[in-house]
Formats: sequence, C-alpha cells, structure tokens
Amino acid sequence: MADRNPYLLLGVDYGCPPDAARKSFARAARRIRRAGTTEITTEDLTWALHEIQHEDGDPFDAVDLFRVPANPDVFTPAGTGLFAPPPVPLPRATVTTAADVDTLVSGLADDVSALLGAAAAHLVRFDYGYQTPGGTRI
Amino acid sequence: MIVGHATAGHNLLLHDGQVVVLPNDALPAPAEPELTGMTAPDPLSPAGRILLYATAVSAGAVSLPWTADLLLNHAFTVISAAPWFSRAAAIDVLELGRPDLLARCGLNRTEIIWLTLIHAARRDDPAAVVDAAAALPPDRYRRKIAVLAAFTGRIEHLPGAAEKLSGALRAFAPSDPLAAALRRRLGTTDTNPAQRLDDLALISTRLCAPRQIIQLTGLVSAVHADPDALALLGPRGRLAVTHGGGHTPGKDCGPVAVDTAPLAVLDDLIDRGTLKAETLSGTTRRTPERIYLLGRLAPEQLTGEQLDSLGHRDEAIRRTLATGQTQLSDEDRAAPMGRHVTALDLILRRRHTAVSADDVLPAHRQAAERLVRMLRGSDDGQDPATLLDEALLSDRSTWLPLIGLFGSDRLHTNDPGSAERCSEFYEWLALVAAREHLFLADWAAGVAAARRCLDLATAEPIRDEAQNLLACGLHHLGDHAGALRELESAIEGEYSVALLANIGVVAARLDPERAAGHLARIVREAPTAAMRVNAARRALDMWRSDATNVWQGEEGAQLQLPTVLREPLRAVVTERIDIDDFRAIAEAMALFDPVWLRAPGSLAGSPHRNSLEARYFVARAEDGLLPVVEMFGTVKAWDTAPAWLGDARDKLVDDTIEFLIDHINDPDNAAGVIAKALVEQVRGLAPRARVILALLAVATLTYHLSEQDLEISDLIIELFNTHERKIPALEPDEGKVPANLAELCVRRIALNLQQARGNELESMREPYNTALTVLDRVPRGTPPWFQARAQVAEFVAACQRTRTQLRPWLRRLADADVRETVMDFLERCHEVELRADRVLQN
Repeated sequence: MADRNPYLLLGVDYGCPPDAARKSFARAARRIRRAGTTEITTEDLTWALHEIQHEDGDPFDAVDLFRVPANPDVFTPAGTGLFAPPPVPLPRATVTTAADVDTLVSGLADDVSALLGAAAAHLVRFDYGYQTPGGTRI
Repeated sequence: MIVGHATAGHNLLLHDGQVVVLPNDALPAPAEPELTGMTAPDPLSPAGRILLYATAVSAGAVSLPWTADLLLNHAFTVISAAPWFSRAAAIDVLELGRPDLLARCGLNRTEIIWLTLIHAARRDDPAAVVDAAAALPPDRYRRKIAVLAAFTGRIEHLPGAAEKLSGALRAFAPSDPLAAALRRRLGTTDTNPAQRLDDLALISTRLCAPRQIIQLTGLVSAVHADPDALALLGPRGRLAVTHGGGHTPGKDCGPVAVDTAPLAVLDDLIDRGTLKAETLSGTTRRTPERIYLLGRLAPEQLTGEQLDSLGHRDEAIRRTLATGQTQLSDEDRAAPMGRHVTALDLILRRRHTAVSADDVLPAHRQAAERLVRMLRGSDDGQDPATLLDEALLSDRSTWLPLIGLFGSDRLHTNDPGSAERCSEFYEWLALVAAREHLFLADWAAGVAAARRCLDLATAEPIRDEAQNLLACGLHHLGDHAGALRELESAIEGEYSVALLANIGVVAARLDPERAAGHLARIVREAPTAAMRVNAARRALDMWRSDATNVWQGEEGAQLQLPTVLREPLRAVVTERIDIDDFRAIAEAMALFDPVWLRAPGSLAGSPHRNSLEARYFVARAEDGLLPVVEMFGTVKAWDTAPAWLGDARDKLVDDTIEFLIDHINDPDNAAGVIAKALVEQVRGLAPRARVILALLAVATLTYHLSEQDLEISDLIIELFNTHERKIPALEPDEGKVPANLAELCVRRIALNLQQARGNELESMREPYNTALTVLDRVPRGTPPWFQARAQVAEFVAACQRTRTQLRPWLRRLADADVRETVMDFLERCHEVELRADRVLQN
C-alpha cells in the first residue's frame, strides 16, 4: 500500500501552500460528506492539514509522496471568456488636434528634407552652360 | 615645350627660358613628363597642356626647368592671342582645380562668378555656392535657382544664407515656384508643415529625385509608399506614415518617435492596433503618460498601484474575478465589469433567475444566456449532460464553473457523438473526474476515469497527466509495476520533474535493484540539489536495513551499491548540500561504498570535507574500528560535541559491550582491542560503561593470550586493577555486571599467571635436575659446584616469585574450582621449593 498522502486526502494540488490547504479543509469535508465515502474521515483531513502545515522543507524537493497533479495547468482551461474576460484597456482620454497633425507632417517633412539633402548632390549634373565644338554640354 | 605656333613653325620654350621658333621638321621627338599624384584632364584650349604642367609644377607633381609662373605667362599669352579660346581655357583651369586663374582667361566678371558657382556646386561646397549665387546679378542667371535647390537641405542651415540669397530669390519668386519654395525654406516668408511638404515635392520633382523620395513628399503618397521608400524614414517620419494608416494594423511598424509624439497621436495608433506595448519599453516619456499608455496597450501589465493611480476599476475588478472572488464593493458593482462579475456571482450561486443579460459584457452575453438556459433546464429536471452544447463549451472559461454547478459526474455523457464533437471538453472532464476520485481515495474509479480520458485525449499534456493519475490509482491499488509503466510512458515525451519524482515514489515500492535505477535517474536529473539529495537518501534507505550495527551487521556491511546508483551518489555527496543530508549520505556510503569514501580526495569537492562528519565517516569507511576510536579520541570536549557524534560513540560502546558479552568465551581478541582502545583513548564515557569495557577488554585479551599460551602483560593487570577499584563507586544497581566481570577477570588472570609460572618452572626443571646431579658428584668449591648451586638458587627464586605473584590472586578468587587448582599448584610449587632450599642448605 502506498504512503498516506496529505495532499490527496485534502483534495488539493501537491505542494499547495499551508494557507490554501487550510482554506480547502471545509471544501474537503463537504466533498467527503457529499460522496458518502468511508475511506476518508475528518480525522484524516485534520492529520493531512497538520502534515501540510508542518511540512519540513520544500515539498517540490521531496520524492516520497506521489504528486497529483503532475501538471496543474491542464486542469485550468486556458483562454478568455465569460468567466475570464480579457484585460480591459484604459479608455482613451485624448483628442487629436490639428496641431498634433502638424507635428506629424513636420516630422515627415524633416525626414524627407534630410533625405533630399543627402541625395541632391548626387542627383544633379551641374553644367557650366558651354558646349564643345563636338556639341557636348559641359 | 611648345608654347605657341608661328607661321614658320612652332614656338619652343628652351630650358634656359628662351623661346625659339623651329620649323616643323626640326622639332625634337615629343616627350610627356610623368606626373606624380595628379591626373591629366584632356585640354580643351591650345594652352591646356601648358596650364597642366604649370599646375603640376606648382603642386610638385613634376620637375621641369621652368617655373609655374613662367609657364602660366606663356599659357595666357597663347589665350590672349586667340580670345575665342577663353571659355575653353576657363574650363581647363577649372578642371585643373585652379578657379583662381579664371580672371586671367579673358572672361567678364559675371561669367567668372557663374563658373565659380558651378565649380563650387561640383565640389559640393554649399557655402561657396551661396556666396557665388549671391554675387550674381539678382535678376539674371535663372539657373542659379535650380543649383540652389539642389543644396536646399544644407544651405538653410548656413548662417546668413537667407539674407545673402534674398535678393536673387525675390527676383525670381513671382515667375519661378522653385524660387518661392526656396524662400519659404530659408524662412524669408511664412510657411506651415503642409506647405513645407509641398515645397519638398516640388524640389524633388525638379531635381528628378528617386521614386522613393518623391513618394514620401506627400502625406497621402507616403502612406501608400513602397516598403523600400518607407524604410528610408526616421522615427518621426515613420510615425506620420503609421498614423496616416501606412502600416497594417497589428503588424510591427518599426520604431516610431514614441518619446516626442503627441499623446493623442499615440492614442490614435493604439486605437488602430499599430502600436505594441513593447514599443513603450525604454521610453523617456513622463511616468504618468507611460502608465496611461501601458493601461491603454497592456492593462494586464499594470501594477495594482498603477491601476489605482489611473482609477481603472474595470481592470481591477477583472483581476479580482481572476482570483475566484465574485464579491464586490457597492462602488465596484456599479462599474461595467462590476455588473458583469455580479451577474456571474448570481449564476454561480444558482440565482440565475436574477441575472439581467444587460449586466453581462456584450462580448460574453450569448455565453451567459446559454448557461442560464442550461441552469433553468436543470431546474426543470433535465439531465445537464444533455443540455451542454458546443457553443457554450467553446468558451473554455465556463468549464470549471460547469463542474462547480453540476459536478463532473452529471456532465459525463455516454453519447459518442457529443464526446466526439466536444472531445477536448470531455477528455478534460474525464481528467478532472479522475482527480476527484483520487481525492476521495476511490482508486479504482480514478483508474477508470483516467483510462477514459486516455481513450479520448490526443494532446500530450493531457495524456501525460492522465497517465500520471492512472499511475497514482494503480500505485495505491498495489500495482506498482503497472504504475511505473504508465509513468515511464508519460515521461517519454516532454520532460517533467513531477513525473520523475513520481517514478521515484513508485520505484521505492519495487525491489531495491529496480528501484536503484529509477532513483539514480532522479539523483542525476533532478533540478535542485535538495531533490537530488532526497532521492539519494531514499535510495540509500533501501540498502541500510539493520546493517548499521557495526558488530552484528557484518554481512550487511559487505553489500555494495549497484553501479547505477554509485556514481550519482558519489556526485551528490560532494555537492553543496545541507550538513544533515551530507551526514546521512556519507554514513550510508561508509557502509556501502567504503573504498571510494576513504580514498584520499574523494570528498575534496565537498564544502563539508573538513567537518566532523567527514572525518568520522571516512574513519568508518576504513578497515576495522580503530580509526573510528582514534577519531573519537580527538574529541576533547564531548559536552559541546554534536549529539549525533555522541550517539555514534555511545552506540559503538554499547555494540562493543554487547558483542563482547555475547562472545566472552571467544578467543578472538579484535573486539577486546577496540574495548581497550575506547577505554584508553576516548574521553567522556559513562563510568559504568568505561569499567565494563575495561573489564571486558581484560577478560577477552587474557583469554586470548592464555589460548595462545602467552602471559598477560603488566598493563592488562594494571588496567584491571584500575577499573576494579572503581566498581564500589558505581551506583548500587550498576555494580552487579562489573562485579561479575571482575570475578571473571580474576579467574582468567590467575589461570594465565599460573600457566605462565608453570611453564617457567617446567622450563627450569631439567637444568635444576642436572644441577642436583652435579652437586652430588663434583667436589665443593669447584667451578661446576658453584654453577650448579646457582642454578638451584635460581629455581628457588622462581618458586618464590610464583608464590608471591599468585597468592594475591588466590585471595581474590571466588570460584572454588579455580581456587583449588591454583592452591594445588602453589603447594606443589612450595614443596619443590623446600626441597631445593634444603639442597642449598646442605
């Protein structure tokens, strides 16, 4: 027979903190009463709570008690919905003005001006306005 | 060098500076001096070559017999003789980079300025361009406007440029939009950002700028610009384009000027989904604005304090709901999210008739209505399992509340169609049901539910957990091998510390050999040193049995750790572990892996290598127990020593006493040696234990020596006497065993001494008899007579010593048989002594 497991007895996830275990006591008592089981008694629950509250060391370092669940995440369905609404963004508190748009256009103009300034010298061929006897503009 | 042409031939400049005319057929062969660090442009004018070499001489690019000035004088003489070559000569000097020579080319002033302007433009010298343009007549040379436009981005930053150019630009502004645009750019007339952009569009077009730049010169065109054009923009330009809708919502628009953008503009971007929360990292905006933007972009990242500072109650209430709380304050219940949570609270309390759909957030209203319908149906007696529909189950947030409302058993369906349509829900439901059964210690039902889940589930995380629950049930039902199979199967995929730990739990129920392999894996792979140590201790416990009794557990002590466990344990014992764990593991290794533990350097890596624990257990790992006793002997103050060490000492004492009492008639002296060493070297033993150990040592060693036909040493007798004297000082109820042992010691000592003396006398018997014969036959006073008499005297002395030594023990002997034996021996000894003495008297 396996060792008595206080977490299983109390119906809490393995490694559950003592405070949470204490809060689960009443729920566990209701569960066993509702199920009508004789396998677990209130004394068992009391013992289990005592064991958890006086756990020596980190339970996640132990290898002497079976861990249920191994992966608690799978018991909590992920996703938003009726009972898990998504985060609520803060309502907007500003209004966009013409000055704001001017600031934007000014920023664009500054960028284009800088681009043009850097490119212009390479774009234009500066002629003296003369022509060679062969007809080439210089 | 040829410096001109004449009707009779060519003008040739000689090395001495003289010019002579040579007929064409008398010219020497042409030679081109090589120029160093200078390129030679093709000359346009007849003086081009002379100008080239004059410039080369000035620059040191060539060594010629003429000065540069001499050559220049000849060059411009040629030009003045042929003025139609003036412009060609001007081009030549400009190509040679000598605009300073323009004035000697015979051109008018404005043309020289124009050429200077173009030359400056070609050299990319904006300041020189401005100066030259300003020097030209304002209303002439229209092309200067285009040249200035090419430098528009740079001349507007030149000090005084606007003033210098104002006349020229004003003159052309009415007729040339480019001039008007330049005036605005130089700030000589009013403008606005939109006009600036229009001016840039005009300039770009006139300069035939690349497509990418032209696309960016209007807000609308920039919004639709090609990606390679947008890539040219900086953060401010990108912000304008992004704000204009130039990026796909939700797609990263690249770094925009978040630090300087108007807050409303960022709000616009947030509303369009083109700004991400990550963009805010590292921003230098004021803290209130940063928090505001974070609240707009990623409210879930706000701290509680930040939420309060923003007064964002809806998000605060949502977080309260996420913790499972549905009870709110009156103020919070009035907020939209508060009304939603209150509606949920009513549903969870089965007061669904009081729920108003308007209170539920619009996005979740349909799900709430479905759930309320299901509750009403259940109230009407319908089976909840038949009321479930796909639409409701598509909202996963309802799964846990559904179990809370109806219980996992009532939601279970036997309809394969439903199970298939909503397989994810039903496999999850089976998983939850399995866990519920395990919580009720209904192992068989838990096993069945876990198997039901495995029949449905395909996702690895669900299957792994189902196998874990199945293993738990099997483990509690006693099927440890089956449980181990499930766990090993589950851990094949994604690594899980919990599954690994459970393997250790189950393996401990198997035989030690199989368990060792599984526990060794945990010792090797566990993520924390504490978990590795726990697994190691659990593995070692299997080997411990009762072999810790050092005298009785010799068979156990010969056990060796399995190879699979040995190396992980050797590794973990040198880790930075708790001293209690170190003690437990070192203790077991002293028992099961002594050869490694006692090897020098084995514990060198351990932080506890110099601890009492290390010294003690390395001593334990040595052959025999004397090293342990020696280690105990180094402890000077046992009252301050750790309890475990005192316990170890007392256990060794107790075990040794027990063993010696059980083997009191065993001729082996090993335990006796340890007992003697304990008495002589170790401080702090209990008085009774010390007396008993000493007496047992005396009894055992004396018996051993007697068996070897050897006489005990005075040290053993002294050991006995010293500790026998202490017996009366013991408590009355503690003295019985020591007294009995003392009696045994006296008996064994007396017999040993009798045996020793008997052997001595026996060894003297033949020389003594020979001496008697000699005394009878040789004359008195002769050397043989004296020798024989000395021999007899020696025999007498031996007899007297025997009596002297044994008589005290005779008085202490309580055992009648032994006493009689010793008395007989002494009487016989006395008789032969008298006879020998008479011989001496005669």
